[in-house]
Amino acid sequence: MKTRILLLAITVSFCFASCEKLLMPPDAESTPTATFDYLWDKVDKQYAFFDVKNVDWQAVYDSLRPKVNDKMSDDSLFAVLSAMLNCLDDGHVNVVSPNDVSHCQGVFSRMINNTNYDENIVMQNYLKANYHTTGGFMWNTLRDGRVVYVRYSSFSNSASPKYFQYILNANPNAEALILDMRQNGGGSIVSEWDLLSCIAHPDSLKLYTSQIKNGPGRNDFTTPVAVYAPDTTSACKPCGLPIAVLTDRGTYSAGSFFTLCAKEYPNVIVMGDTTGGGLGLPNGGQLPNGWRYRFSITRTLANDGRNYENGVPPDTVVRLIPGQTTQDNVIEQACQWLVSNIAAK
Amino acid sequence: MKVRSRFCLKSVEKKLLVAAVLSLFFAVAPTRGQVSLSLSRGAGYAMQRDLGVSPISYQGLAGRMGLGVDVRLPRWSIEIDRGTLAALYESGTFGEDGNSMGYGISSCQEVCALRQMWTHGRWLLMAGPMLSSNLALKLNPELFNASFGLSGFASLSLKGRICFDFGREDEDYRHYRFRFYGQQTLSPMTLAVRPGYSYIDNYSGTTDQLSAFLETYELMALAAAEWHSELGVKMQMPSGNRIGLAYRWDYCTTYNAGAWRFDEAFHMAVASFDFILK
Repeated sequence: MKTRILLLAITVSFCFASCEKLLMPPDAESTPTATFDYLWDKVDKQYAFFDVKNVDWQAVYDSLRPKVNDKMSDDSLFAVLSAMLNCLDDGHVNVVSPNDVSHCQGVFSRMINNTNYDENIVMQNYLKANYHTTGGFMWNTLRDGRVVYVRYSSFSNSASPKYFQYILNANPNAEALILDMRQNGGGSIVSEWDLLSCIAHPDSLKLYTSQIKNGPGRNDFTTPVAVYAPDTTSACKPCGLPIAVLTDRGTYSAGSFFTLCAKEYPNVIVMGDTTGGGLGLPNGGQLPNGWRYRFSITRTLANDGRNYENGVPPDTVVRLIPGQTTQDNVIEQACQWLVSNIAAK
Repeated sequence: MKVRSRFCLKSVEKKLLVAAVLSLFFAVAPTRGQVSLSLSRGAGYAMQRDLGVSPISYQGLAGRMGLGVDVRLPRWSIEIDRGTLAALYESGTFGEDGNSMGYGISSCQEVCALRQMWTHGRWLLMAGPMLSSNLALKLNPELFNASFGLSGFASLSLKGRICFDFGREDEDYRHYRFRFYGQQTLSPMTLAVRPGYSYIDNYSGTTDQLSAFLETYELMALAAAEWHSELGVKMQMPSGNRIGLAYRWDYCTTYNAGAWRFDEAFHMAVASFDFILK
């Protein structure tokens, strides 16, 4: 009897073998309406910053959903999806079609309109023609070699500690450092840790806490994880010199992370303008029509408990003086602060 | 420190595998059993859908390499198999422009003990339990921080095999030239580990990166989550070695147990070579 049952079971199971489609629900429809609904729902359940963005996401759906129909062109659908994501006012939010990549117009406008950096002034008067390039850093000396000005324009460029150490070794008489992060739109978070590992800090210096969205509710987050200053490496002797970090609205993503962290270091001052924000890690996925998207699914809380997703404020606000063509007011004030700080010591 | 211990574990696993094979070999040595080393190579179609990152099925090509040891006793067959599987996937219709691409590699281990349940003329029916594990790494570079996903399945399964011998009978060795077989494996119980709701590791800082790994993954217990079928034929050479060709179907799913449903299937043509060691 057992043998017959076994034989029957094996025979019957062969009838269903190789038919995984029978066991799986069908793929989602790839129509414009299905694609819109899918993206709206994904953001609704996984986006991490509704609390600080002040967005009524249901209202966004109600206003944009009527503009979507299954006969619309890909370009029209892209425009609606972009408009939907624009409401989040987050530079880490994009939809990617084969022909276009959406971007947050608010972040872009703030970055461009509120720039606190003039490349011509910096190149002609501070980096000058005899500037050096070491890894991802451009640098030169100011104030008779007492201050080293280091321009770091993107965290996509290498910030290896060996390069930072080279700059320090090349300027043994330097008494202070300026790290210019203005218009640094971010890049690799690894570069951020590389750079932070070059700065001296007390043991167990807590920088911030991080949480990941882990449920569909607005406040569903994992337990906060404390993040501490990275250990220094043998490639770079920890720099204990006074450091001024310069920021503006174009300092975004990894640039904002760095600024948030740098503020905790005792020998660092942040000067300039509020950063652009972008303190969430963006996560990606695919839409039913094959396009891709990304948005932030983690949040970062500063040691004061606040969420600076919309921008990390500087310790000292300094803005460029309109009409100035030969002097960068932010660099000048940073130099002044550093020199007076050295003198006070 | 943790990395080192992981490598140590891998090393221990290898030693255990070698020890198991040697133990089986020597255990069977004084008996009338037969020990064979089995090599297999397969190629075919792969399909996967991971709702954590895409509602679209990915399809593509896969290749499989297997290495195993079979011990045949008068009423039992003990089989150990270790396979490595690699796949290249595309979203949507295969070969179309603009598709997203994904890659997968997995390592599978199987140990099963099949008992001879019934014989009748040239027919043979075997069945028994199987333990298996499958660790798969998925990469989709276009999906930003969700581009990396690890899936692990460990199953207790029931395996059944029907064999039919045909062809010329070798009177010296009392076996037929060909053996047709069909086998089914179903898993009543599976433990699976998969990326959780966030589909991202909490790598918010270098010092926490290792400890945060797998922190957001979820463990789930599943019923009937794995299904494997195989239909094939083996030819016995005069030397006793066997060569075989089979069609193999592997399917696993998490149903809706986790945060994101995951389905994966492979359809493969597999060539195998069994070398008699004893």
